[in-house]
Amino acid sequence: MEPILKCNNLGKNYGSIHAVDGISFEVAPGRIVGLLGPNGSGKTTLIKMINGLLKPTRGEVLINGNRPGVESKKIISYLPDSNYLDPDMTFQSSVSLFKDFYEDFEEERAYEMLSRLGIDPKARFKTLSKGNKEKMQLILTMSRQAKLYVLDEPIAGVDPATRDYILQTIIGNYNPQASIIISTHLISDVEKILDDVLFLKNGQIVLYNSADAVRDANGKSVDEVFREVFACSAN
Amino acid sequence: MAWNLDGSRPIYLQLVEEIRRRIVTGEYPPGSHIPSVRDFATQASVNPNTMQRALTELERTQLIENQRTNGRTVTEDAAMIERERRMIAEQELKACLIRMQKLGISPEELIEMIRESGKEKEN
Amino acid sequence: MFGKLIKHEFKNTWRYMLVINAAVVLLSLIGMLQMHLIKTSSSYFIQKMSTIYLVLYVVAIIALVVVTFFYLVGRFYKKMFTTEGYLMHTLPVTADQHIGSMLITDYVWWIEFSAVSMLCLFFCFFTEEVNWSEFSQVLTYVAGHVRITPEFVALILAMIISPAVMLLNVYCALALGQLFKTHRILGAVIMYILMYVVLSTISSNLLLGNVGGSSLMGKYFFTYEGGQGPEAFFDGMNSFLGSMGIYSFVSNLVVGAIYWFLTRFMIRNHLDIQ
Repeated sequence: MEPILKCNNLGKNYGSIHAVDGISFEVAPGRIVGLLGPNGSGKTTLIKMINGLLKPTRGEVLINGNRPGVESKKIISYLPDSNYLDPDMTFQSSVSLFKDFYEDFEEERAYEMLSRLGIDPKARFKTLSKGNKEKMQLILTMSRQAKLYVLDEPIAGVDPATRDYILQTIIGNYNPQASIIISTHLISDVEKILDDVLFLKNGQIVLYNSADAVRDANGKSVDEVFREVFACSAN
Repeated sequence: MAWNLDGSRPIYLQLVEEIRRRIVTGEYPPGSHIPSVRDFATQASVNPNTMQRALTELERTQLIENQRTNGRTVTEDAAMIERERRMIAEQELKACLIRMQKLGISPEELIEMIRESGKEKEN
Repeated sequence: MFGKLIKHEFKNTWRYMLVINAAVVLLSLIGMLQMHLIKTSSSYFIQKMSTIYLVLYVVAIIALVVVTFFYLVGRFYKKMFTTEGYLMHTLPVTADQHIGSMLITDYVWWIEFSAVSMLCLFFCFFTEEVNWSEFSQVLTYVAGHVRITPEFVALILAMIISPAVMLLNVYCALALGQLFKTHRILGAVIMYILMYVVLSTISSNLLLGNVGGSSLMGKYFFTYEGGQGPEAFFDGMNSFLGSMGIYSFVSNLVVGAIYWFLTRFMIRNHLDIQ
């Protein structure tokens, strides 16, 4: 089966800095992959290239066989790290926007998820708390029947109950024909829902394996392995 | 009920153990219906593929039956459940004996301690 | 997709435009009142207050126009080059569609608001003074003497597309500002000034300076054959304006296209939202 995501020697330079340094890997459909690495490891750069928000310096990234463009954007559902919605818009107007541009958007599902949170769909985003904004953006992202979901730090900066809610939503929307890439540095919260883990360090892949295999091989949790791999000395 | 999963061991193995335990204690009664992979994974907050792997393993040992159209059910084979129960109990006992030995308590002392605690419970 | 972009942009801007248009109309109505007061009141104090109002009124209108301009192009900047870009650039839409849809909505609003402001100013200051019958006589006379030549059409077209080219100019400056790592808006201003200088130089060289021995203006613009009187004057004006019109139209098209391509190039190849 064609991999949903394939990177061939993908690289991005900023001057002399190799943010992403010639990496190659594949993601098959139906996998939940954790993109793990410290800040500055190249995670966000990689994600931006997958989404067509950044042009690679070398190599290529293929989504379902296509380079980033209109076709790939139709099947990728992206949740960025920041607030990307116009603060004056409401949930209602965002839903109408998503419905207009994405054929795979499911309006009923979006409203159903929102109703369980008890937030007013007519409230403007600028009036909402940070946690509620994150939840809404997640709902919009997960209400699409996309082939590839890319979630950039979906649980950073929110309280534990919201984190649980977010992880439950991700699992609950799972579809064996779609894949999910979760980029995070909060590994212990997230590792139980990951199929595979990819460690990124200084723009290079240092590990790409199934999470259970990592646990088996090391007798440790992915979080603990991560700490070893990325240990900084305090001296 | 919360699933206490330890990140340092393969998750699917822990799921197998926990589900087995729940079957044996009767929390999942014989013949009862098992939720879909997705619902079950959401309950346990784990990856559905991992849950799938655990359920496949349980089907292999026949603790769970997969009737394609009706979904998965716990086995109705009471004898097998009983065997599992004894197996788990024996494992727990072995582990306990080893720990007690390390504390310097012999099996005979242990039996005496069990009798004492049994009497206390009655009072 | 393209129509949807336009629809959503109008949806997100009509409230602001309504308020600002209403403000202009309201200020103008008060202005008309003040004009009337100046004429009819005998109190020196009232005349003075009304005059002050009218001065402030003009300043306010100019300010509102400037603010609205920055509001409109500011939306382009926010949507394309700030965190809102995460949503915009992941929609299954091309860069051309983004540029085109924003250009159309900004153009419509800009024309609308400019027209409303100018009409309001006009009606505020001149309603009572204009002798409408004289005015229509002059209009008819001029209209009768204007020849609808291709050049004339070109001149009208040039006037129609020049606000669009101005918008594209700003878009392009904002896009080129992305070349800077920090202080991108400052960078955009610098690029705008640079483009202005380059364009003015080329333009004046073409029109007035020495391109192959003579200037465009000298060579092509004046085909006036001679003669006297108002007829001759109009002939001369017609030919000059006509040539000017063609030059304007062509140069606007060329320059506008260059701005568009540069903007699109930057969005496709040098997008880097921080």
